[in-house]
Amino acid sequence: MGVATISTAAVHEIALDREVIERHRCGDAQAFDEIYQRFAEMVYNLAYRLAGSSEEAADLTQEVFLRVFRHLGSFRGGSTLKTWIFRITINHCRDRLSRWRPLTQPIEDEMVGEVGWSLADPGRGPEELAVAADEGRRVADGLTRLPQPFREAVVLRDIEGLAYDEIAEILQVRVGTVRSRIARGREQLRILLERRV
Amino acid sequence: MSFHIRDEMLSAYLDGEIEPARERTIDHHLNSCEECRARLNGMRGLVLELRRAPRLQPPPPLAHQVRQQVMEQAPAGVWESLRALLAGRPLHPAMHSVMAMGLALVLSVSLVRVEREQRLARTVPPATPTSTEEPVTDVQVLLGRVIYRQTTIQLGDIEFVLYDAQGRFVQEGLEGSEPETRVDSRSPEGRAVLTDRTYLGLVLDEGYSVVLSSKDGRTVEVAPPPLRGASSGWAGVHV
Repeated sequence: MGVATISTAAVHEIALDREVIERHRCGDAQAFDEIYQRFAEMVYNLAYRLAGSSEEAADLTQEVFLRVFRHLGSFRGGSTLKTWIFRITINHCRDRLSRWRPLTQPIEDEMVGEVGWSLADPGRGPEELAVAADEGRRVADGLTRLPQPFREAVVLRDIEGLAYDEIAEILQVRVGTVRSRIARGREQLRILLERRV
Repeated sequence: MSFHIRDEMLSAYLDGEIEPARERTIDHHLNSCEECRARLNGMRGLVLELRRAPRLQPPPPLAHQVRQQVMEQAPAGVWESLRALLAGRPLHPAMHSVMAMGLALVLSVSLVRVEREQRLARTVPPATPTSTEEPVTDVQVLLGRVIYRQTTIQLGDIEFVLYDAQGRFVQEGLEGSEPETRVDSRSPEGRAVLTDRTYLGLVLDEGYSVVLSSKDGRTVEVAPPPLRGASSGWAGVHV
């Protein structure tokens, strides 16, 4: 008989989710702020990788959190808050991006822009940041050229570091499909990046 | 080698997302197949490059925008509850705390104002610039939250910029800029400047500090108010 296991970190995360959701339901206005602080970076980065533009990522992030606010009261806890918010982000990006423009437009050249707050790791030195920015541009550009299903799977796995079963839950597909999309996405991305070297 | 591992299997192997039995088979194959080893290494390089891609921070004003939009959506519930209360119907339990927060907030604002006036009467040193009337119209009170809309503030003849280290209240065009000096609100200078500006507490939110910096280099950092679990959800600056 199989034994289901759950990590201590996951237990802690679920407890944290329950506590903040309960407070939100009881009218504690700080609870939503905490949710924003906890997930804003995650949502913004995912939106950025899917949209390829920081401006669109900001709009998408704002809209995603509005959705989260509207539906948080009815969140049933069938998944972690993180998975739920990831799913909202993916669905919202699909919806919005399909209306805004074709999904394979090249990314704008602004990964590390004029604004000082773009990078999340201010501890790195200028040279290191410059190298990271070059790599970041190359990768981000390649990602925007991938077909959407492959892009979503690769971003969730290789940028966000999620496990296959988490990705399957977010994308609402089987783990086998996730495995296939990641492999095909990586292969296409490798070819795209090689062409651009 | 007469056969090679499919991309899908190699990719899952790299991620450690494969059954142990199959993993051993692949291990065995890789020991003897240079081509598959090279493909695996290529794949590993790509994944490392993806993982090294820099993480981005959401633009600081975004938190403020999200909060404003959320607040715009929220009042309907409050009015609904008020109507229920006036109609003698039972109130949803969640709304008790919201109502309590609102009342506490009104009391807090009043107390801060009274306290400010008392302090002005007894403690403002002659060198401290006196303020103009509080721009109450710029303060929005909704659901127990207060947002101070303006991003600059005039203290006597000096214009200060509201600058939040966490990025909530940053004047447009000054994003990411660091104040030249910082003065703790507990220091005599900080206290002198803040004595007649206790309502600055209105701009503070849980866990956030605000830095006031003037163009001539005067800077005051306002300590975060006491907070988590505070019954009003907000507290004034204590200087």
